[in-house]
Amino acid sequence: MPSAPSGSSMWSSTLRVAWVVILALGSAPAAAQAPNTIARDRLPAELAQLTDDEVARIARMSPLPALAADPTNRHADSAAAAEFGHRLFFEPRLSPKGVSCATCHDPVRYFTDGKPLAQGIGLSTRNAPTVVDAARRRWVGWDGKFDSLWSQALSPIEHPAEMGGSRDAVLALVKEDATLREGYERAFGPFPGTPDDGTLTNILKALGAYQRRIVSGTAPIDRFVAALEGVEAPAGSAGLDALGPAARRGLAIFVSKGGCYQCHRGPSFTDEEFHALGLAGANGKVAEDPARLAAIDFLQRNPMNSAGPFSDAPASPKASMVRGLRRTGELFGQFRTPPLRGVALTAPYMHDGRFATLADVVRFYDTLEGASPVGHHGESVLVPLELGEAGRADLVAFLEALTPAKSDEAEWWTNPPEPSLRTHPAPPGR
Amino acid sequence: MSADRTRALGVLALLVAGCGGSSEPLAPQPSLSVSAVEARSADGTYAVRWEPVGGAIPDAEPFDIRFAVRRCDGRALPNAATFTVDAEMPHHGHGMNLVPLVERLGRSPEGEIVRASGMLLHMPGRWVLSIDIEEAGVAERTQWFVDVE
Repeated sequence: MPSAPSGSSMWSSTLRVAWVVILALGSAPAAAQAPNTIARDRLPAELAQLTDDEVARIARMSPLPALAADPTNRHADSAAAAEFGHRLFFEPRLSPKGVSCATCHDPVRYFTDGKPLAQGIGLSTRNAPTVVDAARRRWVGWDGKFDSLWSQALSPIEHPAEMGGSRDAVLALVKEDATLREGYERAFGPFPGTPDDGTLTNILKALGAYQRRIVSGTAPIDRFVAALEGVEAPAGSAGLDALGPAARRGLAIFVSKGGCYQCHRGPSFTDEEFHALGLAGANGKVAEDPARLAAIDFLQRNPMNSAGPFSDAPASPKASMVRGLRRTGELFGQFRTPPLRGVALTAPYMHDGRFATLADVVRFYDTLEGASPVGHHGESVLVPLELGEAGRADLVAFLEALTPAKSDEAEWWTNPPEPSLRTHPAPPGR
Repeated sequence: MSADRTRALGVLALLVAGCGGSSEPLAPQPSLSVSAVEARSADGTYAVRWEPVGGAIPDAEPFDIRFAVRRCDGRALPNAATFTVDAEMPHHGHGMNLVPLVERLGRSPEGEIVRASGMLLHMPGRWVLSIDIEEAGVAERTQWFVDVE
């Protein structure tokens, strides 16, 4: 009989442990996520040696499900709010130094800035993550300090190293600028509608509504999986040829001996949670950034979280998650598993941009060179992969096959048009 | 693993681990489904059946479980009894990132029906799900391996 897991006792009274039933439950996903099946006879030679479980992991990579609603932001799917948020996103006057959201989240660079550390007024301590598909994230930011796009939006505006602005200055700008004020009023009604403080929240929710429009399109992996499942490819698309031989070999590594699938799961290639990889800190030794550990305190105390008074759904499942977050020492140094769709477009990599290329990232996992011991606070599953140069190149080829096309709504990927070009009607009741 | 196989294991667990007898008066709480799996606690004081709400554990998404607890000696579970639900990955050295909210729903022919909301098995591999029942200062644990693909 195996012993109990260490540290499992939380009782001052007697706790007796027995292993009574060994039960293997399949990870039968929810119906909405149930993958189609891939017949083995459709597998190309590079994937023929995979087990059924490994093949099932491939099936779960595509397609991306529909974007879930954000009940904490009742304006999340309002076109008028998104249009107003679009204008704000590119607005340099939100910062006294002319820094806009788009400075660090530049559409030309897949909504990143291409720098190791985000460069606003000063130098941030974190890499600028992409905004593309950010609305799919359970937690926002490398440490998950925020639980929604709208609640995150105030932080860079007011951070002295990012935009260096203030909420009062934002309110004054929207009030005094005719175009911005019109945008606000189209979305929310008269500015300010009432003497309460909902105006600032509306502005943030408009930024959230805009960022929900920044979504990725179909990637080669989607066409490949569809072809494996026997779904007829649209005319002109590549089907099985969407992944070349190197990418197919890389895919095989990804779902098998590479173990990448353990954290980079499902169609977004992330488990939406946090892990410590043993990345050395600035001192070259242990990590110094508390990351998730500190973020939980901030998140739970933030009045703009999903459970707070500014949320439109303080009793939502998301709000319950925020209240139920576990704060333990093992969270020290943990960062969010980044999604991998579009990863080839978001260099440099890791929370501090320490790796310039995907090849560098894969080399780290392959060798764990420079990794500091994670002790009992890290993932014990991380071991050098020993793929060798060819295997590493194949894995990079697969990661490049996750590069999506721009979405069909590419109008959101550029500066907003002049106000006179907008035809969206004012909301009823004005 | 197929639903049929899971169900079959659940029934097998019932046959092997059930303690017989019923606990308490009928109440409006619905029974758990036939696919719920049962085990006895460490010292055999309790029989516990559980199932994921909705019938399946979703992939890296939060979910709830429902479980039924009854004393094997046929006595009713006292109102002062408390429940703690948790899960951890012994091979990884970590547990869940959420603390489930445990809510007592009422009684049924199967015993005390309890719901734990906010479970999250965010990685594939072997998890150990534990349900601790504490009564009069003594806690007993019932636990299962849950293998997540």
